[in-house]
Amino acid sequence: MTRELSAQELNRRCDPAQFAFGTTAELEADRRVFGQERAVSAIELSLEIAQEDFNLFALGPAGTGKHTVVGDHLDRLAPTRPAPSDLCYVNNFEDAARPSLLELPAGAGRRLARDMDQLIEDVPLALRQAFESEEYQQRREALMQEGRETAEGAFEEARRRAAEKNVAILRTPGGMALAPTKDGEVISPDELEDEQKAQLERVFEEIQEQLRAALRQMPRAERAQREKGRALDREVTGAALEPLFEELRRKHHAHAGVLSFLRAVEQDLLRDPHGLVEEGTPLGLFGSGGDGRQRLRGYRVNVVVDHAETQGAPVVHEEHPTYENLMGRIDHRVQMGALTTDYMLIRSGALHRARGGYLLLEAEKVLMQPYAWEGLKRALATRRIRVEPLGRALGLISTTTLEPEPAPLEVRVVLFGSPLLYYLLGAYDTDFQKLFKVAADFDDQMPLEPESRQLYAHLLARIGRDAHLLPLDRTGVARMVEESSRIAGDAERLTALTGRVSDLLKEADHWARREGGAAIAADHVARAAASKEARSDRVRERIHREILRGSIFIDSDRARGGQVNGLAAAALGDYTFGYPVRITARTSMGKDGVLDIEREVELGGPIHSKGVLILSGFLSGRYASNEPLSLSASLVFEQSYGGVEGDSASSAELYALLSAISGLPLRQDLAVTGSVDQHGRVQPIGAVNEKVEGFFDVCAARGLTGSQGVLIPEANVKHLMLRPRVVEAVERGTFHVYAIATVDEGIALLTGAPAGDPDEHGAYPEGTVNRAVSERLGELGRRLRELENPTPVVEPPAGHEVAAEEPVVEDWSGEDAT
Amino acid sequence: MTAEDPPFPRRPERIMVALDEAPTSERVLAFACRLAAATGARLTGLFVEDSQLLELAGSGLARELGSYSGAARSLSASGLERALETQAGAVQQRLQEAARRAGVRWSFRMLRGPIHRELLSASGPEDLLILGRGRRRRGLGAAVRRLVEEGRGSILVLGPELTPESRSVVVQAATEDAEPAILAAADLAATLGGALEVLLPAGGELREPRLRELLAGRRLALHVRTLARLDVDAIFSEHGPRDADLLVLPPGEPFDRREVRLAVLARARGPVLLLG
Repeated sequence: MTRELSAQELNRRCDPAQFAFGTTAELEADRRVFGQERAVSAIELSLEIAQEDFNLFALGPAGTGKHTVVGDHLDRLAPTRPAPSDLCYVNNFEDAARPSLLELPAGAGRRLARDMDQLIEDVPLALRQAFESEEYQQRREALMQEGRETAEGAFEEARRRAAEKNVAILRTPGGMALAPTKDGEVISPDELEDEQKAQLERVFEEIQEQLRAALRQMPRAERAQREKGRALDREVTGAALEPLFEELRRKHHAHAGVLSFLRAVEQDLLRDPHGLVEEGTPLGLFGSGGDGRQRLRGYRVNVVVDHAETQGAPVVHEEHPTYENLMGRIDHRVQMGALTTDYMLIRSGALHRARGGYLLLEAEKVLMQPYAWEGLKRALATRRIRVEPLGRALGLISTTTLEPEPAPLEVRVVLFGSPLLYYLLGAYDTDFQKLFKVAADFDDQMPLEPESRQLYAHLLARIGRDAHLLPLDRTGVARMVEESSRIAGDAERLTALTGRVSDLLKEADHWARREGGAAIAADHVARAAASKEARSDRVRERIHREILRGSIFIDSDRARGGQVNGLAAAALGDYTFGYPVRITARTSMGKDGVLDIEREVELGGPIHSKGVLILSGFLSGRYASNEPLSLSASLVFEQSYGGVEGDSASSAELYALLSAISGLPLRQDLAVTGSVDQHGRVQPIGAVNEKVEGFFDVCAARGLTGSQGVLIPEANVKHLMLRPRVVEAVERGTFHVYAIATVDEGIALLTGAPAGDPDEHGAYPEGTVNRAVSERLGELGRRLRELENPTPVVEPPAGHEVAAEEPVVEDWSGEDAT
Repeated sequence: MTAEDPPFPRRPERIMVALDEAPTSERVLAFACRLAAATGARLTGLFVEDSQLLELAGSGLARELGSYSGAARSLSASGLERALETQAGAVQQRLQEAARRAGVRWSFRMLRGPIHRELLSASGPEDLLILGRGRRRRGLGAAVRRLVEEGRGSILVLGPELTPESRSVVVQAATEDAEPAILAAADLAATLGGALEVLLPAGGELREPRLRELLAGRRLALHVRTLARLDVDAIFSEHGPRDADLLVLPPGEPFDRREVRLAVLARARGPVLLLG
């Protein structure tokens, strides 16, 4: 039953008197979340459950407070959890390319690093003292002397044997030569007889062999001497370093990893302690010298994650989640034009810093960064953080670099993203559901109930406090509740887009302060809302202007056949507006059914096309249940130059069709919105408020006639939160809003004729719309059959004439019917 | 040398340094440059082509044994001469560079003959001849021994432990005749920037007061040690000169006796200056 709505039904007012406070300043801080119980429950589960892989994906439209809600939970939870361990990388003395990882209690990493820096300062001094000690010098000299004597002994023996046989050993540029002597003086071999020469040659052979034997001994002797020297060095070095290491071992006795590292350092120091004494040598032009300093650098500790100052579990929000920012990186330094690196240049990533705590990431940003998503999944799946250059991880480069020992990973990752992203990942990424088992689904709306109004006041108070805004008085709160419903597009709900609410509140605060007010009142909120609309409505205003100027043809009075005012809505960012569109239909004899011109030219979206096809179903079901629908009709959104989507105009299209078929004109002072099903029921649509206001604004600008109005689906009445200008016009009776449930109600209102119910034979009463439609379709069907199957010529009986049938008026639905 | 300059041993006019390709030769050259720079003496590098070796190379018996490999190969006179010339060129180059760095006047002479004879003939009594001796030798080489035995002038023999950091100078003095030697040692000590230690034999003519009078006004850390007796063992007793000390022996009894000189050189690890 068509129902004209009262002004009260067009905007559910929020009564300020229901609030007991004077301003929101009186409200206590309340960080409870309401209207998002499902999401909150999921967050609690994910953040508190001990099981792995229960990572969280917080999904919802932007501005639903995902970050705030998760942040509030973590603010409460993280401080109660223990601070995780520090992570340090140290030199792996067995394989410098694979630095070792030390995991130490919070704060111990920094202490160890400090102690090792001190050790590095102390070692050269201690060694220098040891090597300059009289004891060491004397023992070293004794060793060297022993070595010299051992080496020289063999030569002395050869020299002595040579002297006995009157042979001298002379030094030559390349070695040694033997010469005969007489009375200790070298003589020329030419002075010798042949026999003496032959004998001398044998002696030379013998001595040469002795010398060769002595030379062969040399490396062995030198090696033995070096080994003795090393043993002495080890002994002295050990004695010099023991007090230093003893202290370190005592300080870090609880950490087996540190003790093992200290043992490795000690062993390395013993390897070549003399090199370390030269620690002060400056590096030469080509990096020569300074070996000692380089080695000492190898004892430093790289604390990549330091939790000395961390209270509770860490909460890391990585704003720029590149692969390296997540996984860590290995820096390089330029040295004489070449890039070099070592374990001290390993840098932590967000995963390292968030170990034992929580890592918050924007899903879209992670997916936009090359290989960041793959790296994150791999780390979560393997529970290891492997720091490696991206090129190497991808197998693109194989240059030598570091392969640090992976760090164990225990972390709860929270991804923030849109529902679309969540569902896409779920559908296409097989790892996603395994790694992110919990979804916190944030709704963009919440129910409007008496209690929720009070809670909403608390929410507004909190937003105001966080942003340092003026408090709201009761009228301000009430108006904010109304605006929230308006944003939600539902009189029975509130928006959960706290971002938009916050923006509106800030703007209202601006106007309140400008007026010198102490609190934000309803007027300030209204002004803020109007101001925002005014800033955003350039496109709406242009369409509106062109309608008034007659460039876009929209009738707002009289009646026309085959034409109806539909209502369209356009969304530009967070601003939505409605405007009337002229929908026309034309019919002709044929069997093509209803032709959607928008679809034919590919301007109609699939849902729009679906709506039009439903019309064919309706027409066939109602008017052609016993015979084929013999109709060709076309539908179009006139002066539409862009895409058309949605089925909210399908009822309007049906009215235009029925008008075109029946020849009954439709009222142009009414506009229509609502989709329709195959049985003729009118279904709810979106943006009902904006659509009603769109037609109202055109009518109001031309001058309200008192008969103008809008037909909306009955199911949309609960969504009405119309602006005061519409409500006031309805209150005055100069504008009307009709709620209809069926197409029959709508067509009756638009044509002024009843729709008509079928009798027991399916026939409609005379004077009804359905009768006119039914008859016209029947007539078209007969004509079509006659054309397709002409009647055979039979000679009539004499004196009998067959009257010629009247010609069919194909279509007059486009004609002005007033 | 000016009229004010005392004659050597305190101010040598020329410093003759025997050079070859031996490892110790580098350090000998460095020390000679340092001394020449401090005293203003002209530095002359001497490279002797051993005639005995050349003669040997000309005979059919000559064989050379590689100093590292121990491999025996024939030694021809022409090959040896080429090798010696190459060595001489390298030595001269080193001398030139070292002298330039030290800022001393220098010359280079290439000699041929028996080594000790050529060195003796090249240096006069007022010159200081500097020699080095190898680390691996037990005792002295034939050339050094002959030079010490036959030398008339002052000879500085640098021991195997010579380092350019030698600071202290130790002089043994028995009689007042040794006073010029003490002054020379004091000059060297001042040059080397170190201390002077004087060994006075008990009951000797020279007493400590006279010694201090002699060295008055000099900025030296003077130490006096009394020797129980005047012999080699006493000099190298427990508190004898260290390896880096320069030991100065004055002329006259007992150090003009060659067996004493040779005994001192055999015991010393550091440098020894035999004043002529």
